[in-house]
Amino acid sequence: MSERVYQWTAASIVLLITILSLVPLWYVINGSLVNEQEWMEKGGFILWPEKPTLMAYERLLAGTAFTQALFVSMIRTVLGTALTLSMTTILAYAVSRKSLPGRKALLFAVLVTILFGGGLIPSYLVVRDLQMLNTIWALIIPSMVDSWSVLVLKQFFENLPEEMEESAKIDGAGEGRLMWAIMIPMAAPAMAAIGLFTAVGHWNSWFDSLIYIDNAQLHPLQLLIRNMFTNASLSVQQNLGQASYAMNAHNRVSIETLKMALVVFGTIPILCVYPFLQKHFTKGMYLGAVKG
Amino acid sequence: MKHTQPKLIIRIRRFWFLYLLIAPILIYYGVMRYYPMFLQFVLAFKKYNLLGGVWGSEWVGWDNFTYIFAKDEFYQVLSNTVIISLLRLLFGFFPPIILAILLYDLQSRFIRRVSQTILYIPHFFSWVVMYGLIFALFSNTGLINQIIQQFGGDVQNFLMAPEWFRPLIVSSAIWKEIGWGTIIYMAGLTMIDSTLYDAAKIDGAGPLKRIWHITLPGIRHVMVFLLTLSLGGVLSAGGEQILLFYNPATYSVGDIIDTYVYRQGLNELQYSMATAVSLFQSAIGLVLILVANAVSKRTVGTGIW
Repeated sequence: MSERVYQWTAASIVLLITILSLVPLWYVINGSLVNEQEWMEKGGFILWPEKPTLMAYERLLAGTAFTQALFVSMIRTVLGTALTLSMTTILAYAVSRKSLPGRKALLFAVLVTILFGGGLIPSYLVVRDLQMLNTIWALIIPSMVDSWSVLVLKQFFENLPEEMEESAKIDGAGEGRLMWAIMIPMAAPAMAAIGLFTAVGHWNSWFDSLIYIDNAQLHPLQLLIRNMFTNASLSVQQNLGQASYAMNAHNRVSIETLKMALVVFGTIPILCVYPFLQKHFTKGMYLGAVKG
Repeated sequence: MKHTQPKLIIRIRRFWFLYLLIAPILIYYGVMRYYPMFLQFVLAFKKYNLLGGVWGSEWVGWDNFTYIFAKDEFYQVLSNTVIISLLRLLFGFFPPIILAILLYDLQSRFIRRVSQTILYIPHFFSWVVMYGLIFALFSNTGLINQIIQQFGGDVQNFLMAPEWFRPLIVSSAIWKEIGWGTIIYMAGLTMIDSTLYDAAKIDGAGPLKRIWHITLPGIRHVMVFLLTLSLGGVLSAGGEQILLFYNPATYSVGDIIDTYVYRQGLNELQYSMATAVSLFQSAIGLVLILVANAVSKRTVGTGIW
């Protein structure tokens, strides 16, 4: 095979895979933009909406079930990320201090939790016994510190130039000032990366709310979407704005369109932070951690 | 000259505020990580009593384990787990490698940039969103069935049919992770000595020869590392995804250890039995990952730690 043929083949395969990875999202976005009339006419085969309408999104935003779920998702993402980021940073800094007595034991304790977990039932029982069921804390506390991120950030702290530490000491800075005023600000890029990944994780998680939250008013968006697809229970669908039933199919959206709009909502924050995420992972910071 | 450490007590006093700061974190690790770990050893050897709780329940020795090992259901779940894991490995291992090599070799920087940007996106979608996308494509009213009908075919019940379950699970996971999976290989590829490529050019080696003799050997260590890592995780077959995709019609081919523990434990309230199953899974998993790490270290010198 000549280099030219190879280049053409490679480019076609890469482009084909790229297009394939866009098709489902493309289809769902377009499907979320049509009224029931167009949906029925085309039998759901929508590759380009003729009369695009945001009706499905208006319906969703008008229903309390959706706005509540959106609110819960936002709260858990903001609170959870703030807490996880601060706790992870503190622990990572502590285990990066070579002269800290007990450092080895701490590091070992963190490593063990990566290899061995508590399992589903015991974790559930602990959350239950701490009276956290049906509270937002059940979605935030169990994942408060991520042991992997601790190791990533520890590595980052250790790679900071030692002269910084020494010159701070010469200037008479104590351990406290060294941490707050010098080391943590320098770790800001790594912290930003961990914060972004944590936020994405929070926004995307649904299983914890499935097991810890019975109260539907406290369900995050991902669980609402899941219930919409798997339970197909009428009550969920009615809550999502179908109750206001219009006679004319031009002024209605099909339930399929509503579902697609929900899925799109589930991806919007991800697509918004994606450019920032990409900046961090292409730098290869997460790879450094994998390779140790 | 040997560097002398100050006395321990002085060092501890120097770090007092750091100890204060990590105190809540230590409590967290104790309560939310280590206590459940300990609890699972207790629970697996007791018969959980809803009224008495863990500590008011009776010790039953290995009864929970003999009970599950005597059940056909357990072997069905175990074999589903292993089969699905191996299918994921068999079909999912090579696509990111091929894609990474093609991307790396592309002379058009524009195509590479654009493709890379798009290819990583699905990795960040939740499995719930993924199920939404799959539903839109494969449900009875979905895009694929619309196309089948246009060509005069019959509607295929993709989401309820046992024969479609595993292909759907495996291919949707490949679709989601193929781009993300290239990252680690791209990092490996950039570390290959570029003089090797120049030498190959002078020798007149074509692209295929170049890939076979330089590129693939250059990323061999990454391949072996990831392969052993996945073999170590063979009992975790992606519970989060399957919990969304499966339904009673597909339990026979899709029920894996994670989903079985969830249903038996939290739906049927069989806490002890479910904990015994998950302890079995963790114990085997731990052994496998330790062996995998040792193998990877010995063969290519790269381990997890």
